[in-house]
Amino acid sequence: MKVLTKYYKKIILVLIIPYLIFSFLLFARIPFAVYSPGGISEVEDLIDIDYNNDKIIEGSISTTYIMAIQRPTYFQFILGTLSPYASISTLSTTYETYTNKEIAQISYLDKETSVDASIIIAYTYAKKVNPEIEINYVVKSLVYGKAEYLDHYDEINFGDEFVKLVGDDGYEVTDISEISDFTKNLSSYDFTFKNEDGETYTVSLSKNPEYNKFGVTLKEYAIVDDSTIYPTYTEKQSNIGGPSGGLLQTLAIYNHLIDEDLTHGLKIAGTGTIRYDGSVGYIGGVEQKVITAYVNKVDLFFMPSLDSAYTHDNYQVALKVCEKYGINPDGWLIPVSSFSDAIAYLEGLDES
Amino acid sequence: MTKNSTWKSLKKDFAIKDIFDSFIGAFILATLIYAPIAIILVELITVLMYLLTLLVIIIIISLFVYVFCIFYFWWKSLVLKKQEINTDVKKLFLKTAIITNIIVLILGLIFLFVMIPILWV
Repeated sequence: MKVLTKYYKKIILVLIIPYLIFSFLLFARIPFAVYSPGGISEVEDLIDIDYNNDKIIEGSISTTYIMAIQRPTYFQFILGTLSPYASISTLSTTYETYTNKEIAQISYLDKETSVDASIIIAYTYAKKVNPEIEINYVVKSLVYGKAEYLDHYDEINFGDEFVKLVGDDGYEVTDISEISDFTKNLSSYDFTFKNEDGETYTVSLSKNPEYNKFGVTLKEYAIVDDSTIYPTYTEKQSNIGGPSGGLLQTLAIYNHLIDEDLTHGLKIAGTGTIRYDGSVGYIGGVEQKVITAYVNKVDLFFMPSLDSAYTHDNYQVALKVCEKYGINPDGWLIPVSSFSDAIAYLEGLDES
Repeated sequence: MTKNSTWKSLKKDFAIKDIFDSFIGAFILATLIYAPIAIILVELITVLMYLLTLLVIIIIISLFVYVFCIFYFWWKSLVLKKQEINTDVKKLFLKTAIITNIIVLILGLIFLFVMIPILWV
């Protein structure tokens, strides 16, 4: 060890400064977000449904993911600037107070709840043609956001279920819409949550005097009732977060449950969140998703289109992206506003 | 006179402690050089995910260089410690480095074609 250090002493000394510069570029983070093309991921690899196992699906249905780097290092920032396909924006105000780990937790929560939504919608639609399918769900209020001033910040985790709180005059609040009405007299209240292991815990949360809020954001989600569902399914652990795969997940699950094959041997991809009423929601990173789909040579790409007059409508933006990169959108980029639209389009392929 | 190129003869030339000490020195020095390169490649993947296959191939190639660096510094350290060596250390290390790199290549290809499709769901 000593011999080597002695022999290369001069080189080591000369390299110390560039080494420090590189370390700074590779580790120091800045409050921006870099979005770049990612890849496509087949839904069948994520959700395994124990049904129609003999059915041959000739094509494939995939979600599209992009790389969203929150608080990139200087090096990632420079790469993003140089890459023709990446875009850079300032860090979203929603995420400003969160660590990258917390942002990832929110993203995975979005993914998990979007899979539940997809299951509920796909099963509900499939039940119309196949009565043996059974689907029930429960509505749960989950922790979706935490403010910096939240008491017991580290004890309450994203995705924990709100069970109840003891409100004014001892009234037990279980409905989140009642929280503000029954928390007027005192400065702190006992909240009960259930963590992912199913353990309940109670914490006393105080209202922040400045904002007059407890600092916890709760959101209602429909969660699949696993005890009554038929056919059963297994959701594999995913390392891709976010809710934007909702539409395609729903399509793939539905396609698995019905007898016909909606893929017609095509490589289908797309993007769009799915709402509980079957409508499709907007997504971010349209440019990167279109490029990802194009690079991965998909045959059809579904894109949310809710209002053609709206400048930031995903489909309108996607058309501009196609023009920018010389991609022909005809018959490739398919606008959809709901799950039914997507099914109708794929069924229409049969006739044409 | 042809020199031996076996570990047995190397052990005759050096004490185990010296061989091990040289290896640790070589490993640390090579790692110090390789660490920023590895981090650069990983950060390249995070931004240029659509070039994943190409970048993983580059990482495999960079690992070849890293392995050769370790063996080069190991050889250099031993040579600096003792001038008169009866073992052909260069040949011995070259053989070992090639074998190590074949293992790296196999593991890299398994990662590229088996692990990534399984893990990246």
